[in-house]
Amino acid sequence: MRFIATADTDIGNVKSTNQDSALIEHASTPSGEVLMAIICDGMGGLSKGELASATVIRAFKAWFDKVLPYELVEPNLQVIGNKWSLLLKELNVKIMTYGSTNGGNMGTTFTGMLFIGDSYLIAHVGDSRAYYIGSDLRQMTEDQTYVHREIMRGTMTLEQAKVDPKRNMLLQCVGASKNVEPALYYGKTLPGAYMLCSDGFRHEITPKEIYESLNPVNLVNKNAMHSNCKYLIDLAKSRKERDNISVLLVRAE
Amino acid sequence: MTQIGSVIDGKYEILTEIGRGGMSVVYLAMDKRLNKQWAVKEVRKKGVSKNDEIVVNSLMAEANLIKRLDHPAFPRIVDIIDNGQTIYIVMDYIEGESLDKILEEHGAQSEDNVIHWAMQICDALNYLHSQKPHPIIYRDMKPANLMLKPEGEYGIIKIIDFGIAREFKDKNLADTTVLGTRGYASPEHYAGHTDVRSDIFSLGMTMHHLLTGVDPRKGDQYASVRNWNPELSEGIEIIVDKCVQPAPENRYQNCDELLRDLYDPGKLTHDYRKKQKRKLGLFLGAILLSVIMLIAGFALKGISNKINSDDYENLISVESSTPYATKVDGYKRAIAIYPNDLRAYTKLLQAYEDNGKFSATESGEFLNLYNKNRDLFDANSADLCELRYKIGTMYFNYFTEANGSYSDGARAKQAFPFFEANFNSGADYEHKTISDCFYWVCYFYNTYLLDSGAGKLNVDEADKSNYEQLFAEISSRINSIQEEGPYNKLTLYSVVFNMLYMERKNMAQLGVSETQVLNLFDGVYNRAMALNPNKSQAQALQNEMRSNYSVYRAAIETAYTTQERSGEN
Repeated sequence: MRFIATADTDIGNVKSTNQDSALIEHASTPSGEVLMAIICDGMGGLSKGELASATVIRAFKAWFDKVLPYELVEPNLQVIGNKWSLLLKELNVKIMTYGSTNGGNMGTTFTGMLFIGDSYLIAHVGDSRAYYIGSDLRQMTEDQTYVHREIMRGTMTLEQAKVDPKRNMLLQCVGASKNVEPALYYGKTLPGAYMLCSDGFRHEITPKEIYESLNPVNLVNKNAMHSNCKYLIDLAKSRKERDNISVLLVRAE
Repeated sequence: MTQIGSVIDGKYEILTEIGRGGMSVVYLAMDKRLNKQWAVKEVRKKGVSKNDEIVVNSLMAEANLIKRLDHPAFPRIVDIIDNGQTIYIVMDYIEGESLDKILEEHGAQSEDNVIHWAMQICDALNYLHSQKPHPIIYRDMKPANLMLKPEGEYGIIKIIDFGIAREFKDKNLADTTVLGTRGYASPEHYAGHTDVRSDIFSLGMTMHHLLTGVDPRKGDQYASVRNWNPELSEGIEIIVDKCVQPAPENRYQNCDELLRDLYDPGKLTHDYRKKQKRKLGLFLGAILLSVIMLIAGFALKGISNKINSDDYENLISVESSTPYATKVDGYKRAIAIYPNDLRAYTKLLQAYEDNGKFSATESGEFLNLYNKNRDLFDANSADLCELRYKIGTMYFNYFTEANGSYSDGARAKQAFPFFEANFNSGADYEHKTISDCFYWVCYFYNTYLLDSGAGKLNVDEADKSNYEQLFAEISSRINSIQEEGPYNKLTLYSVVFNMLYMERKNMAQLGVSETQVLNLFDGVYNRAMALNPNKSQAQALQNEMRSNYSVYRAAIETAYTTQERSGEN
């Protein structure tokens, strides 16, 4: 598989800091290209959210640079998935300890993809999302929000969920949850596009609009990919999105 | 054991077991009619233990006791069902975690947290202790009986398990069954005659456990909190030590006394007391000195006053054609001469405004002077309110970050403290109505919109009534706004206009009336269009509203129609 990747972010209309972080790591190895893409949506007052999301991103960058080369000797995505899971749990404790001694809850979502050979791995905590864009737009991750769980369990109706004061509360996030259990997804990489985004990106934009702009047919090169991402960010912003807006796009072929 | 899934009394469906005590099992249940969750405490009348009678009686006593209480720290009882073999007590389900779990997982808690929790507990105990005709002694204060509901900065403490609380009847002390938890229980507990001071002892041990992480049940020799953690303050150590004195008469005698010290532990410390003594010495010295200075002062005051006020008047009444930098410099010098005279501050803001720029630099320069001197201002005077109104509108009309970017949100955040101080001042002044409109807008931004990540971390989002209140506060004032300057009014209208558009989906989702939203939207728009502003920034703002109007309005309508049709997005 060969990859082209790009990302962009915007502070949005209301917040005074951008607490999202994104990372793309792209390497060429004897057995083909390897690509890691991560979106983190930080939260917490007094710029703490930035710290949480940046901490996670830095740890994964270090993992890619230092640890991945050893994994590539005999790559096994299941094993890497479990190691990512452990790394996220460690980061959870680290950020939580920092938060509790520095006065304030802070945390971050995490949606990260790793492409090796013809397969991919997704590790996922929170309500950022990964999508596959082929002949249509398909959401690959499930949002881990409190109301989503309650609806699934049948203890809350859709009507109740809409007006619940905790309607945005996450079930878990890295840095503010007692236990973090990342959801892991595995699969075969298909030609087309993979898109990761923070929730700010998708509140105001319809799936149809996303598909129209990020349809692989329109992603002829990196410039086109980036300008289409930028177009959607500007669209979300013009519709007065409150939150930070971030998107990361990978084309695979 | 009640089966999970079974239904009690035709309406409470048992969902899962959430707790188990020596005397009973607690389940989470769903009220099928109200669709609401309750905690259901179950106790079998027979076969629990050989002391069936005691168990049932104490459970019923607990229920009857809580039923009478009306305090936010205690769960309410909503139903008692007795089917002959089993008694079910239906009460508030408290979402949160008990402090002993939190201790187990996170270890010792910060002093700040513990003080805030202790204050809440004191308030609740005080309520129990002031019950008539007999004070209620809780008797089992310990981390396991305290639930922390994650709300607000420090969380909210709920007190559960009234298994052994009982009314303290002065004349009936012969209660032979020793209840309570060793380690937290006071010495007199074992003798069987507890009073309000026993609860203070247990609260002291609880605070000790929370602050140090050292479990008193383990039987370690008691040592003051700072022996375990030297970083704790001297004040908190004095408080905890006093709570856990073996002799009740050496403790705090009631929760009020304890509460007073918890509010300000600093004043108990050695340093503080020493400082007070030193202050007295200095004070006496100062009196002597001031007598001498007074005599000299009178002689010089007349001369210097004259010079200062001449200077001040000259500095603040410069020609409007004076260059910007000279004006700003002059006003700053004027402030240095009479820092309590508000006129120079107003003039300085006017200079910024005439120059059309109030970025992070100007704002920093101004706030520096304002904050340094604000204790000198005549609190709540009409003039001060006018100055704060001017500052607030400067932020709303001109504020930009150092990199030139700006947003309604950032502006609302900066302006909020000034409008808030005005709102709370109670003073009457010319621009009160519009200042209060700005206050409500800023309040809403600050509470619900600025930190939108907070909702994900467990902070409540705005509900329907919050929006309705905002609209009501603005609508009731918007017709009586006294303000000559079109830019300030335009800014207010534009902020409301943008906010209604931005919040359209939330409002539709929550069922805020569409008519109400559109009326306010059209109301502010029409008022904005009727204005004739001169300033270029104001004209730009008006044009922006004009060009956005139809798009925004259509989007609001769409949000409502989609909401009617759609499910989860």
